[in-house]
Formats: sequence, C-alpha cells, structure tokens
Amino acid sequence: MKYGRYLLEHKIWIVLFGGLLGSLEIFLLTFSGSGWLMLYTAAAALFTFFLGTYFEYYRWKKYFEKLQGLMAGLDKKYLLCELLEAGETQEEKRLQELFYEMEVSMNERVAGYRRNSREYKEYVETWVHEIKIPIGAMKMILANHAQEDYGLSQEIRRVEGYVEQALFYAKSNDVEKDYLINPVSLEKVAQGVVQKNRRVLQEINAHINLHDLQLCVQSDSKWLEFMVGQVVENSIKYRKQDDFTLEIYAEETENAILLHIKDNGCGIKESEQKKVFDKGFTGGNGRIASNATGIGLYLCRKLCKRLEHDIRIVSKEGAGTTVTFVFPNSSLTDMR
Amino acid sequence: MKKIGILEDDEVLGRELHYFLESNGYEARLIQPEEYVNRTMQELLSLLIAEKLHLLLLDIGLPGVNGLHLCKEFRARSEVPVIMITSKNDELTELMSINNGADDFVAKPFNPQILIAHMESVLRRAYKTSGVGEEVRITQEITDSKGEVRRREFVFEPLRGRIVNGESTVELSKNEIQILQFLVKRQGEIVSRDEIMNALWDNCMFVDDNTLTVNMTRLKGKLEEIGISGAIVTKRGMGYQLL
Repeated sequence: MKYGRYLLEHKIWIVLFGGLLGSLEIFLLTFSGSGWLMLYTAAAALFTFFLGTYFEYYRWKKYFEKLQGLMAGLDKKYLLCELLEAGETQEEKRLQELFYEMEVSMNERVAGYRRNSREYKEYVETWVHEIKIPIGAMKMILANHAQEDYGLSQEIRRVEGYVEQALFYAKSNDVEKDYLINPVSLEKVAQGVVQKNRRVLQEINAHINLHDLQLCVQSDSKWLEFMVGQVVENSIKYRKQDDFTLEIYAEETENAILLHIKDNGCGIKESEQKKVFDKGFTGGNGRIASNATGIGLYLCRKLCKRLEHDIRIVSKEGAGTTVTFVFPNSSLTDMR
Repeated sequence: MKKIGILEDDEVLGRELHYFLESNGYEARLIQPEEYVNRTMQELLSLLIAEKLHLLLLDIGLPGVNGLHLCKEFRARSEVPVIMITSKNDELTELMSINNGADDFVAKPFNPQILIAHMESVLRRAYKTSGVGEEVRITQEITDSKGEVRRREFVFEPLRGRIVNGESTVELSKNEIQILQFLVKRQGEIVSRDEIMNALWDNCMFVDDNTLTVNMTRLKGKLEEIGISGAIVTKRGMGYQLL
C-alpha cells in the first residue's frame, strides 16, 4: 500500500477539504484581509488533512499487513479467520463476519469432497476384494485344465496387476493410514516379487541374481512388495529382446539402507529421466511398448513419501536402468 | 494321504480348489454352505474336528461366520494347522490371522502352485514328516558294460549337503541339493527340465536355463568323482532320470 495512491483513491477528501479550505480563504479575504491569518488557516487545515488521512491510511496498512502475515504462515488459507483477533471497528467486524461465512462454506465443500473421495476409495477397495474372488476362481480353473490355457494365464496375470494397481492408487490418495510399519526382510520382498512374476520370467529365460539381501527395513511389507513389483514389471516390459538380466541387491550405508533393482533393458533417455515419476508420463519407451500407463512409478514415489522412503532412478539409454529404494535410518522409523 | 478341509464360500473357487487338491494327491473335503450357514460355532467346530483333517484352508470372510474367531476357537481345541485365505492382502489382516492362531496366510487370487507350496511347508512343520530326511539311501540297479546287472547303494544327506559313497564324500551346492532331492522323490521316472526348474523356483532358487544345465553337469560330475557314474541319465528332449 502506498500513501499517494491511497490519497488518490480517496479523492472525495481532497475535494471536500479543498472546497472547505477554499471557501474559508475567500471568507477570510473578504472580511479580515489578513494575509498571516489566511496562511495560518491554510497551514493548519492542510496539516490536519494530511495527518488525518495518513493516520487512517496507516491503520489500514497495518491491518492488511497483519492479514497477509497470517496468510503466509497458513497451510490451509481458507482457515484465516480462525487466527484473527476480534475486530475493533465495524469495518473489521464486518470483514471478519464475511471471512467466517466463507470459511464455513468452504469447510462444507471440503468435507463434501472428502466424503465423496472416501466413499469412492472404500468402494474401490471393496470392488478390488470382490474381483479377486472370480480372478482366483479363474486361476484355479486354468490350473485344473493346464493343457488348455490358450494364453489365458498370462492375460489373467495382467488383469491381476492392473487390479492391484487400482487398489494401491485408491490407498495412496487418502490421508488415512492403512499401512503397518514392521521390520521387513528385503530378501522376502525380493523373492515374493520374483515369484509373482515367475511365469513371465521363466518364459523369457531371465537371468535372476538376488544377493546381499539379508537386511531388514522398517516398512509395510505389502506396500513395499507392490512398489518393487512395479519396478520389476517395468524392467520386464522394457527389456531388450534377448538375454534379460535382473539383479536385486541391498546395500547398507552410514545413514540409510539401499535396495537396488538393476536391469539390462533399453534404459531411459537422459531428458526423460526426471519425468518418469510424473503421473501419466510414458516417454519414448512407453510409446513403443504401447501398454504403458504412466502410473506405476508415479505411485511408487507417492507411496514412498508416505512411508518416509525415497526412490531414485539411474539409467543409461541402451544399457539398462537401476531403481533404488532408500530407507533412511531415522529415529522416527527405527523402533529398536 | 493328507486330508485337507476347505471352508470357502465362493462356489466355483471351492469346487475348483477341491478338484485341484484331489488331482495333486490330497484328499480334499469341501465343507458345503448348508453345513455352516445358520449353524452355531459349536456345531461347526465339532463338525471340523470330527472330519479328522490334517490341514484346514479357511476363508476369512464366510457369510455369517467370523473366520478369525472360528480360527481361534478351532485352534483352542485342535492341533490341526490352519491356513487363512483372504482377498484382503494387507499387513493388518495377516497379523490378525497369525494372532488368532493361523499357521499361514495366503491372499486371493493365489497361484495354485504357491498354495501347494505353502500347504506343504505347513504340513511339514506340523507333522515333522519332512521331505528332507537326515539321510536318504539311494539304491540303484546298474547294467555295466559287460551287460551284468548289479546293485549299488549310496547315501544322500540333504541337511549336511553331501553325498557319501563308502569312504568318499562330496559336498553339494544349494541348487544341487534341491535338484537331487527332487530327483530322489521321483526316482526311476523321467523328470523334465521344466519340472526341475519349477521345483527350484518353488524354493526361491531362480535359475535360468544355462544355470540349470551347469548345475546338472556339476551334479553328475560330483557323483562321478566319488565313483558313482551314470546315476543320472540324460534323456534327450525329455529330461533326466535318476536310475
């Protein structure tokens, strides 16, 4: 706020004061004719004018500075009026009433959306649990008729993958805590993921090397398995035609445990590496593979954040990719 | 033959599971909905106990029955191991299952082979009839170069990871032990490479084609080292056979 601008915007005072002073001067000139008196009157009137307007300007300026200060420190801006002291003047009181009304309406709206999103999430979760039963039945039927597969097992596996992704997507969006932090054996996680992708891996005669995995981290085993699974599925999806190698190993550094998942696939262009965690990003490889959704790694990073892990990617185009999960040692997660 | 009880409310899944277990060498008993719907917990428990099962596969979400509660009550009265089956694959459900006395936990949609692997390991733990003996005596009838048939015997000690033939012994690697164990189980039969591969993968040894070839060659070499030649025969295009 600038004083000059304030004055210009409140021209009415200039006009009224100017008029008053002008008429006073004419009055004095007509009846007394004293130059000194006229000068004194003009000076006193102008002084009063500037003092009064400046004071008023200063009060508003302080008031808005206070509001802006509060606002800057606020995470949810619409809660501003919760922090305001009771207003003194009518203007302040009126403004606060308006703010309050705004907040109430905003809260209602937010609560409405939150309810919708929770209901939707619950629906997705129920749906996922329901759909798993017929999928399970289909797998049993196929196991009982192993000679007549027609490639259905593979397709069912894909359906299963997408269903699982949907479940974790629903979970990742809400602030509710559906995870349980426990010591998780990295070896078990890696073995679980390989078992899950067993059919494909055996079919492409993958060379699998799990080593140095005798470490435990504080995490949720199901979530971690899902995340590692997403990475491994990517490795499989973007492999080169022959000789697929997958290496999973852990490493203990001074302040973190690292889990590396390394493949010899087609790699990621340097210009695209930063974007792989963005939602919907598929990149050049994705367009070639055509079944990329751009959800897997996005979800990984989102879930990692909630579990206080980190995920990094190092890749060389044409040579392979290493995805690393970082489990920092922290007093928060270390419960020993 | 081990008798496996199945408590699963989805009709198709239950039926297929029943068939699958029967065709995999178990006696399966699918408990029908009319046997548990509208029955008290006591009735259901007595029914389960009267069945004299070796293992119970229990769906956590049966209509009208709290699977966790049932598991706990069943466990209080019976030593028979229980594997929980649920479509909720999260830590909390797993923890609650274990806390209520379940021996293992399998999430739907499970891979049937994985279920069998879980069942086997639970059964092994519960009845201590480990497929892995202290030592296995392997007797073979060998036709030698002169056309004479003679018997020979050597000892395989899976837990120590070695083969003993009289005075000489040879140490085996993890993969080799697993392969030999599998061959011993099916002695005399021709076992395909895929079957051996699957057996290794079941035990989290993720070998590829080349590694399997190397392992087989080494295993045969080691047997020969201690004077047991020709114990494993390669059947071209079919697999291997432990005589």
